[in-house]
Amino acid sequence: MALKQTLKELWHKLGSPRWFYQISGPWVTGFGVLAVLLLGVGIIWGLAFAPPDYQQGNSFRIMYVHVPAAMVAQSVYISMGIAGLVLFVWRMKVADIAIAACLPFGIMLTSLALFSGGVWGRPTWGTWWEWDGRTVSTLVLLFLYIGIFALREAILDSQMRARASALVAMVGTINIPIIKYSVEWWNTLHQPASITLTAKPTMPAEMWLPLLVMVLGMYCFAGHNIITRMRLEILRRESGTRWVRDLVLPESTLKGSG
Amino acid sequence: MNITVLFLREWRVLIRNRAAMINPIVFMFLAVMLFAVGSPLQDNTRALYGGAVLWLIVLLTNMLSLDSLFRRDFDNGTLEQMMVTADVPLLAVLVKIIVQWLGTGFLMVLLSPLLCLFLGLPGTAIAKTALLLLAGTPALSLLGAVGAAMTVGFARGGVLLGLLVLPLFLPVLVFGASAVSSEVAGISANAQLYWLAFMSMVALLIGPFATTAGLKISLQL
Amino acid sequence: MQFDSFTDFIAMGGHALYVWLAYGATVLIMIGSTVALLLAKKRQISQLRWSAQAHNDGTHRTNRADMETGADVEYGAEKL
Repeated sequence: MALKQTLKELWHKLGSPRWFYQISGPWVTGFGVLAVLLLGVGIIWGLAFAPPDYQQGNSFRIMYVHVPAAMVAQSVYISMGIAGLVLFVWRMKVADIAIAACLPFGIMLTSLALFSGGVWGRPTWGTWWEWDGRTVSTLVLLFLYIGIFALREAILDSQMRARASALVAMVGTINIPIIKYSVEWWNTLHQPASITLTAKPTMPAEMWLPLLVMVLGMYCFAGHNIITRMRLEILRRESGTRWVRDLVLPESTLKGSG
Repeated sequence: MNITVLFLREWRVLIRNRAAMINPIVFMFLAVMLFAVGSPLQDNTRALYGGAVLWLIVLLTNMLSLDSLFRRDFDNGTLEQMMVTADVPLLAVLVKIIVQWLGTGFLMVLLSPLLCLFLGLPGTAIAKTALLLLAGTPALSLLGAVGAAMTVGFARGGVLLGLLVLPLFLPVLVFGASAVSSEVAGISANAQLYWLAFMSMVALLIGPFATTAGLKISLQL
Repeated sequence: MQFDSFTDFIAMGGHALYVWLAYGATVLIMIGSTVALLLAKKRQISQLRWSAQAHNDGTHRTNRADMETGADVEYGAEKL
């Protein structure tokens, strides 16, 4: 009973931009440090210490940036969809701030996934671009992101913009598995997934361990980046309020009027 | 509000506003003609691409038709009235979408023999193509309505509409095009047909709800 | 270490262009994005400082009502 009450209060508090700003500081630092560590270790491991692939040689190392980028890009979109749901059900302003923050990061990472995929494809399969299951899915993801971005640019009223982007994010999220399935059912040149949640990986440990490190590092980078953007947006939106003023001018002890 | 009354009203609007119905169809045939003239393919190779081109043109035609789904009523205030006074706005929206489909997707089903002819698809594929269109176009109308609802307030919402709905249309294109190619090659396309029907059903489940929500947002209700 | 020498490492068995393009883009994005956010934050804070200072100066000169927007609420889910 007490736990339920605490959880309810916590959820209620989460909707306050000010509270979110105050508690998110350590998370930003935490994620940042972890990201640097994991990505640093992962990149060096993947570049220099992991064994080259029997068939692909050293170009296979690109997997260590391509796969994490693609995975995180997709997760971020789904997070946007969840934020959209939160916005619709609980009407939290913070949820809209979350969507706004996820967008540029998601677009960046999806583009990176597409670029690194193309760069990987050239020496491996002879072509910079091939229309197969995974490339189309990722390209569609990019368009889903850009769609919400364009929608936000087109709507001027902030409340309308928030609800519209939340709705589109939700509909897009529902469609992601459908699109994924239909596109993978369609002809594919891509190799089958070498890591699934339940099946044993088909790669040896020396190959997928650095991948795991990179994936975790990429998630931490996402956390750091997105939360930083959220904090920035909160400062911008709440710029007229007392708590922001007190935050930026801590030495000011003078109170309001008179 | 009586469903029959709603339906009759939408139907009358559709019939009396012939341009909104005929323009997309004319566009469709123009596009088919451009493809036929522009492609330096012989008839037999054209059949290979016919499926993809058919569904691509179907998608684009639907996009064109969706743009005017809510716009007219939005501009003259009828849409707001309908959303506010209807007992079940969801039903009113669904009726609108159904009538739009009758004027677009269903019309395409009826015209499929002509489409197959112009695209160089063999006569044996006509029946299956009509069936595929019948199964797949409802999904396009239902999902496209969501995009139409979101962009109805914008003056130049057309391109944004395309950007929003085309990713949602992708599965229909994938299965539809592959189905026609299979038919032409003589392989059974039943799996794709079932998938298209499945997608239309999923669209029926989420489309109207999302469209109603979108309209409420656009109308600022 | 999978490579015999540093030159081998850079050469990546002939795939140098591709590997370094991909990794370079990744690192560029990561560092670039972080730096851009840092700069944006600095800019934002200095702008806020300026306007906060102006606000404080203003309220000390006159008695006009504070133009805050619900800032005295301690915590509360800010609703749309």
